[in-house]
Amino acid sequence: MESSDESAEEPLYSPGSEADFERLYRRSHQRVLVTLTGMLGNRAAAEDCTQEAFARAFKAWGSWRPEAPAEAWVHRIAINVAVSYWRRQRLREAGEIVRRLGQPAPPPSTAALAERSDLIRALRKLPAKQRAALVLRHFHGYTNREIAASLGIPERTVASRLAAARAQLQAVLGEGWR
Amino acid sequence: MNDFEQNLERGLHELFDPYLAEQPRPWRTRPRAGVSGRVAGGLGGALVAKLATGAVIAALAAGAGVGVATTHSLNPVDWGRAASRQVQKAQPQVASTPVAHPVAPASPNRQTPAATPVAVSPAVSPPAVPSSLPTVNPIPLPTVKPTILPTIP
Repeated sequence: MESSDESAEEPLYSPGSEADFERLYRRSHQRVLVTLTGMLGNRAAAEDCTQEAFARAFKAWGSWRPEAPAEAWVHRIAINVAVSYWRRQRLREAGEIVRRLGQPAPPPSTAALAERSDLIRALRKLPAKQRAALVLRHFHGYTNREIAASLGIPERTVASRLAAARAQLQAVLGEGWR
Repeated sequence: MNDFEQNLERGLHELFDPYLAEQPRPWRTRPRAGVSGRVAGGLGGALVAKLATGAVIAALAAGAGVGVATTHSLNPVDWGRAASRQVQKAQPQVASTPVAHPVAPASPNRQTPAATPVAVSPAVSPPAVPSSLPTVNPIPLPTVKPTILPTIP
């Protein structure tokens, strides 16, 4: 449910202004949290990464240039934080699998049970940046330019990445989904 | 937009719309500490520690300065000797100063130590040494002769 303030055009921000950063935070925090939850499939991890991303963004706020939308800029930082987290997590999981060889699998945690949607599970099978692109386009309604700024890729690459991500997701979910 | 994309958007909104209804945690640019925390921690703590160290060094330097000025020596042992000499010089003056003794209520049967006249003498001044010491002759000890015991047949 977006408020009128959130659905309006992105307001003007002054780089380095603490008050402006606070406005950006209030406006973008939950939206970034959604993107990272879609990427990581785990709300607790997404919250940690979102906080980390805003802390890094605040440090770099003085160097932000208004040519790129501020929210897309924060998204870019957050996606990089989430990708790093994802890599570390996969390494840890691989270590856990090796450690637990021959032992019964542990029961799923409560948080994991809450996020066992078919869609979330299917998203987790895509590469991290493709997941982010799908959420940015199909949830936030970002344009190709904003997605390009968020992912740090050329604008002309966005359409092909999105098409590949949708095809893969459809294959995972199956024809009968919905 | 095809059916799959519409389903995808609907699925994402069903999952994540509740997130947007939540309020984000309040943003804090830096952790806020109490007054003691601000003084003890971070830059404040370092500044206080430096000021305290500086004050101690200044006090020590002032003491050393007085010692050097008085004795004209950089050796702290000389400063200690000079201080001892000053104390010894001051003691006879203190001793010759009349001391007012408190007078206890007079009692006919009992003499209190305060009522008796006390000879005031320098307590720590060395006694005067006479030029010729008197000779002391030892007292001859009486010799004891054992008595002869009677023999028993």
